[in-house]
Amino acid sequence: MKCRPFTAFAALLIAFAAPVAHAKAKTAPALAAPAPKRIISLSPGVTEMLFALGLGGKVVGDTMYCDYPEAAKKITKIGDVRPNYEKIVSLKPDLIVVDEVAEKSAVLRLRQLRQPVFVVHPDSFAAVERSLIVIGDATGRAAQAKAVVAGMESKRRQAASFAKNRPGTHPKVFFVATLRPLWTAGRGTFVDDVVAIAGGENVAHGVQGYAEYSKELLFSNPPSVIFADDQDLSAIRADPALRQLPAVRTGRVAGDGGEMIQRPGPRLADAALYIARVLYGDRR
Amino acid sequence: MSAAAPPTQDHRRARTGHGARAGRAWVMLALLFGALFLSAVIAAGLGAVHYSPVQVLAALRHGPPNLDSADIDPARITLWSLRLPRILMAMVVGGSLATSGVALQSLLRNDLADPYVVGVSSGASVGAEIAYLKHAENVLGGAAAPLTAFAGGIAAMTLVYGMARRGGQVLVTSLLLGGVVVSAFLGAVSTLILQLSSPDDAFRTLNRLMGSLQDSTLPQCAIAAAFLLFGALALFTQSRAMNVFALGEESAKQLGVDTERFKSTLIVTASLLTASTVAFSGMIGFVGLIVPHAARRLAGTPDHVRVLPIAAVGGALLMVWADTLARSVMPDNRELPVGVITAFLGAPFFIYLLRRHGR
Repeated sequence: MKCRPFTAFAALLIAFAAPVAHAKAKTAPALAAPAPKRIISLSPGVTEMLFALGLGGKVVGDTMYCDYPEAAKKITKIGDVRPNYEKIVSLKPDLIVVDEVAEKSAVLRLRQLRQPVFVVHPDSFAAVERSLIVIGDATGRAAQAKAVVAGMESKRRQAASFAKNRPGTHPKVFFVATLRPLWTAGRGTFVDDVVAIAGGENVAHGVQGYAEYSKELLFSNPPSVIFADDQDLSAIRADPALRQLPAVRTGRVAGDGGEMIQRPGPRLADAALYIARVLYGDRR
Repeated sequence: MSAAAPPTQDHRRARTGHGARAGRAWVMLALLFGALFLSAVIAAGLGAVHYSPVQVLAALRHGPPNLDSADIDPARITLWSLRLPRILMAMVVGGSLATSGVALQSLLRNDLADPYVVGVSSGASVGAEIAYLKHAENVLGGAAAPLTAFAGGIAAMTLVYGMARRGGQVLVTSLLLGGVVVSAFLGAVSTLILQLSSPDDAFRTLNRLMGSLQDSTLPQCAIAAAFLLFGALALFTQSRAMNVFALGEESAKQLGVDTERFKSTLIVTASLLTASTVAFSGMIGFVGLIVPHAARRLAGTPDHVRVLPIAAVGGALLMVWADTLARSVMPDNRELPVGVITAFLGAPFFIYLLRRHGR
């Protein structure tokens, strides 16, 4: 999957973040233009937010991992997890939206270059919604942002209703960020948050942020459902150790919904709904 | 010291070189300087966005952009804030690695030596990581990483040198094995540090593993240039001793070279030169291997008085182009670590030299 290097790299970086104080979605100092015309996105989640706000046509640069929606693929690429600052500057952006969770060092570098940086910190479901609101405010799309968030909220309630209908059951969930090495998303990540919203219990909640997770731990507290990206699914079923897990034996291994679970963007609400359906057997 | 060496037949020949060849060396040096300047102007125009040499020179003439003014010309930002620091850093790094390579090859009397192969780079890398990990740079400023890198480099170098040396001889196999073992151990230390560092430090650590000039800044260039100036001068004072040392340690001693002092000077200088490059741009291999060979060919003489400056300028030239490739070859405006490029050039060259050694 195209997002994998990005996720893996971001996961790796985030993993090293000892309990960093998680700031809320921050707003940048006054922006030059109230309604920016040339926007650059430095992460796939941000790109999805911009498109959701109807700003897709104004995005003049995004990363090689930005593949949703389809139109995002055709936008000029400004590199991978290491943005190409030359290209960014040459595109004359009047707004660069940075996901600080994944791209902290880019923020510093772009500020040094006096580029119009706008920082969001989407590390939870609510933080994604806040990010949408602040981007909406900064781009003259406040109304759209409210509408998108309202849509997310409605899906969130719908997802939560699955669990409410079955009180007392909180299926244990394990999310595979990368398989080799085995990395997962622990406490303080939007993945952990969206699993909880969908009525699941993240077995890796005890670890902080993105972290390596031992198979032994997995067996000591076995999940009943495993989520992994589509590429890892068959590898998990073939893994001599992992296939012994009850979740794998009973076939309760699910995809990541086309990376919905891995993107801190508007589709996180769809991810919540998707996870809830998998957990409570609406579809599967 | 070399200056005190009695002028023997061999020494005098090495000192003066052969008249015509000496002249050729200086012509070569002048040509390399010309090529370096030209390359810098052309390379400044190449990358994610292309500028013609005329545009480059115009942007340079207009001076650095006033980043606080409303009118911010992308060309000037790119050229002054991004490419100029990179190109200058490439020159300094190339010069440092190449002269360091000359020193190591002279010290070990072995033309397979190079800061990367011998393990100095790994030692310096671990040193620099410790500086970032412990936030020593908050106390010591921008020079913290080069200084801890220096300590790491010198430790690794001393270790490998000690392992390879048997009764005044440096054995090739011991040297290479020592370099491999020390690098492997230091690689493990690097990984451990990576596990313990914060996200941004991890970024820098990952960058350091294959080398990148992307984050170069002018103040860093200045610090690295100071290291290069100091190191190159120190080596230059030893250049005649280096010539004599090529005859063997015993011969050098008999010819009046204070060999212990000579060796420690070379170890320290080579580590110093490597350390500043590793601290700012990571581990870039094989430049110190290729360039000294080319420099000896170009100089037409093994006389270090001539080889050293040619190696310094040649190293700068090689790195400018390696970094230009690194920022131009990948699709989607991604960048390649520059160490990948130098390894692609250097590893086959190393194998060639190794095979020649076997004969």
